[in-house]
Amino acid sequence: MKVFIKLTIANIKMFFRDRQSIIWSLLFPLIIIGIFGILDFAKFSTAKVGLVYDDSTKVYATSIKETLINIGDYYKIQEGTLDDEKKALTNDDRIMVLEFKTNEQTKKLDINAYLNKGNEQTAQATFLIIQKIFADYELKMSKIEPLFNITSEVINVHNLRNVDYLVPGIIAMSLMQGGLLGVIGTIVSYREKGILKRLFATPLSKSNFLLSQIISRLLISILQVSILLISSYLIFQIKIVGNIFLVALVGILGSLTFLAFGFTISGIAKTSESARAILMPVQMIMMFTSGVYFSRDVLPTWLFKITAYEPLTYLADSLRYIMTRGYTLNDKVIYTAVISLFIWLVILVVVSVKTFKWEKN
Amino acid sequence: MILCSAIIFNMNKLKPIIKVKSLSKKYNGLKAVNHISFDVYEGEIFGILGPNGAGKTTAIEMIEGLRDIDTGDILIDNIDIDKNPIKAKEILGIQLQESEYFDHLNVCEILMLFGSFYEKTVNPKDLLDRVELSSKGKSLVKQLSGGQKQRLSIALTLVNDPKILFLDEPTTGLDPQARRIMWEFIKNLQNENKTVILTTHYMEEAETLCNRVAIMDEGKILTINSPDNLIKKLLKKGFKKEIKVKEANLEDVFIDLTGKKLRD
Repeated sequence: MKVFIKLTIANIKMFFRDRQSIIWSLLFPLIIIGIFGILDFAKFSTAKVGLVYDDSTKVYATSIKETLINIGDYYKIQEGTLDDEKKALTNDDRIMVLEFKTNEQTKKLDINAYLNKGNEQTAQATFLIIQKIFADYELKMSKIEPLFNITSEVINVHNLRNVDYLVPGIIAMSLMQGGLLGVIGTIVSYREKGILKRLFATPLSKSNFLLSQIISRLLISILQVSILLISSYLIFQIKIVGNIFLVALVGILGSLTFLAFGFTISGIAKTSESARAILMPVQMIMMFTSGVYFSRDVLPTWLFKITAYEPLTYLADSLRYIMTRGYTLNDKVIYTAVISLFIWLVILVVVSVKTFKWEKN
Repeated sequence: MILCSAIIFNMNKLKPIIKVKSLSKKYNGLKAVNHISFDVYEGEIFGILGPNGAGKTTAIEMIEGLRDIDTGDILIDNIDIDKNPIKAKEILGIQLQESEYFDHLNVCEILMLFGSFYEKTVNPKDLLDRVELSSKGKSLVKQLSGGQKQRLSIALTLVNDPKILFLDEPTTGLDPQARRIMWEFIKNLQNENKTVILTTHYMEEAETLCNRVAIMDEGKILTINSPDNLIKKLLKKGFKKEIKVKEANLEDVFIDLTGKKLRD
């Protein structure tokens, strides 16, 4: 017991003295959260509408302008000559160009709409809005009673801010990196350097060694996640709606799964260099397809289906649902994720027991 | 010569502390170690020599408990290392060629960590004094010179005050001063009635230090005897060495010019 404790303390000491690992495991996630938290992705989605009019049609253009602006920050209005606006449209700088002119023969208002084919959905939707505006106007002018009465009410929903969506995912990502690199950086490197050989020339048992590696990693992960949560709370007022012990339980399960993953890779790769070479693409793919940085809805359907089974997806989703919606083990998403992670853990442990080598060659 | 081979070891009080019987190991059908048997007596300095690929590393690793045995028995102080490795390792001190340790622990912490693996431990400060690394307790391994790293390895072999030490090429890469001091050190271990099993490629080292040597090749032991007896046997066969009588050699010049003190 004494040996196990001393070894665990030594492992944790070594982690904190390693500048690289502190930077990657603490600083990096905090920076990601900070950056994404500050960025306002809403500004990504605005649509520019170009208005072309002359003195005779100005009043209509102005009324359309006001209506569109009142809808919200979504529409930005530009005004100019037809040539300029059409040029801007071909440069994908407009969703739509509206030309208001007086018809020479009928002396009525003609409206021409040029729609951006590349963004057809939004363009068509906007065009419908324009048509409705004029339909309403016509209705009023002709004093016909509308047949339908359509009303709306704005409901308060649990809107996730960017940070609310992001923080659980970043926590899941840190747990993944900790588990994977925790093995490669320590055990594989020890094996390569002959440190493992020297250790087992002493009465130290392999199980004591292994257990202390696992426990040290779990303790470090707990510390890491706590720091991330506390910082997110202080800076962005992240609240944990669900049970923190459930967060811890799922987090530990995820950590163990990724530790086993790391062992599996260490068994396949002979050196720490080739292990890192395998790790990089694996981590990258998982990070971007597990819904850590953005929702998986953007993935093509086939990819969406496959990546649902990734361990990081299970971990990120369940942490997010627990933290932002207070889900518990009774909810399908959560117990499915827990069972699936457990299955992953068992499979990876079995594989790594078969493939992991204590010796260098 | 600076060291006189004063043989402290009394061949009359022979007690085998290591008994190897019919030890063998195969790799891919090739017999790396081919049924070797020998005894090592308590208190002797025993050398194992042989060209690279002779199988000595494999044999020694099996005796140290670092490698699985195919066939044979190894008794360390009457403990079967295959059946009871932990008990056997308690009395062993092993110096490997690989001299890398934990990057982020200092010398003292490494000594204490390794010490914690054993039931019997020695005060790290005493260990450091013994190998003249007293000022390096708080240093990291990467801050040590080659010679200092070697001395750290030696200190680590003594962390449990072992009965038996295995030293693998203990003076490789050391300058002449350091080599001589290491030889003194190893001889002094004999004073504490410790047994030393030494591997080396330096024949002079084997001749100076070892009470007996085993010479291995192709997985088998060719002969076991004291260096003197082996030389006598060779001469009896009619071997004549071209003798250029030099009263001193270049190493003597070197030591004379640069002094006997350790240079770190």
